[in-house]
Amino acid sequence: MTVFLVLAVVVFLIFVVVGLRLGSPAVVSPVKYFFVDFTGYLQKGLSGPSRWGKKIWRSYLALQDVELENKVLRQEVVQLQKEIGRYREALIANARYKRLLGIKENVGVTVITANVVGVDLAPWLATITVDQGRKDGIKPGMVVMSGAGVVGQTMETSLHFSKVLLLSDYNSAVAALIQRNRARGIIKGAGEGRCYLAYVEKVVEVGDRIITSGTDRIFPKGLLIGKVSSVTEGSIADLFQEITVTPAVDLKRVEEVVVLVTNQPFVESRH
Amino acid sequence: MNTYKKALVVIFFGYVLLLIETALGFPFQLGQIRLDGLVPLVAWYGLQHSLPGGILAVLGLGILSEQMSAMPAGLYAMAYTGEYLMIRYVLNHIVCAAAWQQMMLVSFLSIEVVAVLLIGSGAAELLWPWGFAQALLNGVLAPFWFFVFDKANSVISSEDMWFGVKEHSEV
Repeated sequence: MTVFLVLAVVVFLIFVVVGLRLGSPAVVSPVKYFFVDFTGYLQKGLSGPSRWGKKIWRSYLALQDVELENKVLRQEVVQLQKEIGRYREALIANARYKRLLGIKENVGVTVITANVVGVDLAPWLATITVDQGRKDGIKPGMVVMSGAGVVGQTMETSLHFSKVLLLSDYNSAVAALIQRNRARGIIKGAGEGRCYLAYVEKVVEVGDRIITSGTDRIFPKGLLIGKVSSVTEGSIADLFQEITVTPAVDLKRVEEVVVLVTNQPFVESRH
Repeated sequence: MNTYKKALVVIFFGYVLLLIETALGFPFQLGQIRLDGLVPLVAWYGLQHSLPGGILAVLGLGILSEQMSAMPAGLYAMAYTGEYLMIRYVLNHIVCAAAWQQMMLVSFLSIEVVAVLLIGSGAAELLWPWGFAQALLNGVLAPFWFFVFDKANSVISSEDMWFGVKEHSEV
């Protein structure tokens, strides 16, 4: 009898916890946010030494190859200057076309840098905790990037910390565009730092660059997501091609990110 | 130390484990599995503490774990509670003194925990091989974790540092 009573109490408590979290966030939020902030500071303290260690190691490695790297970088600078010249021309032309078509410019964006202080407890869920939160203007649904490209979007924010849903998470979906042929698709998470591009009808080639299309109203158009790493023909069960995408950012090793803070959704509208 | 004080201590240990696993993150992960101290902690605790008081710590650990993950609400609490109840159910039929017995027990319980978490979070396809690999890893490391928990327990029991009360005389 006692066992059944205890079981009943346990089941009741689980339902209370689930109900509070799902039904009325306002009741749990202050407690949860306090817990997230408190834990975030401890995680930051714990992850700090490992971060510094990696930075020192990388600096040491960088010194080893500095001469060779300098040579390569000089060649790259020459190439990039040529490209910049072409892009400037394209930018001017683009601005002219937008004026002609009456397309509104992108909204103003503030960029906030944040450090990764924690990862998700479940290894198959790709979320990270970063050390900037509501006090810095971050809200759920904001774009998170690293130097090379898109990392994901914020999903939960406390006062000082935010949780970020990475591109590689099974629950992540981003509207995407193949830069070469402008074919649209959806980038979905495949776990382990990988993604795949779904629902693409046009021919895709290995090495194609995938960028955000801007139609999901979260990610602005033109941000680099990654490159196509393999393409397999669709089967009878699934008519679409199976396209694996390697993200531009190593999502399993990301340490610093930038959050694009804006008050309006990223969407190009015609007037 | 009474059951409720012990429950608080176990929740504290669980919290420290959670902090280490999430803060140091990726070095603790290999593919879709990770070094997990929580399942062995619940197993170790379940072997020693009976239902009315024991379940509180397990629920506490479940709720804490949930705060550090994007997992659907209630899943960790349900998985750990299931593990604890299974231990209490099989306790009369097993002896868990030898290392291999601890390995078998924790592996068996881990399958339940991993199955609940993977199916509940919509990633059931990862059950094979990753779920079973996680259960195997938990089992292999169980004697180490049990040793650590036993040591920590003996330190806390002999000198009740958490509540400032000495329970055993030094004579």
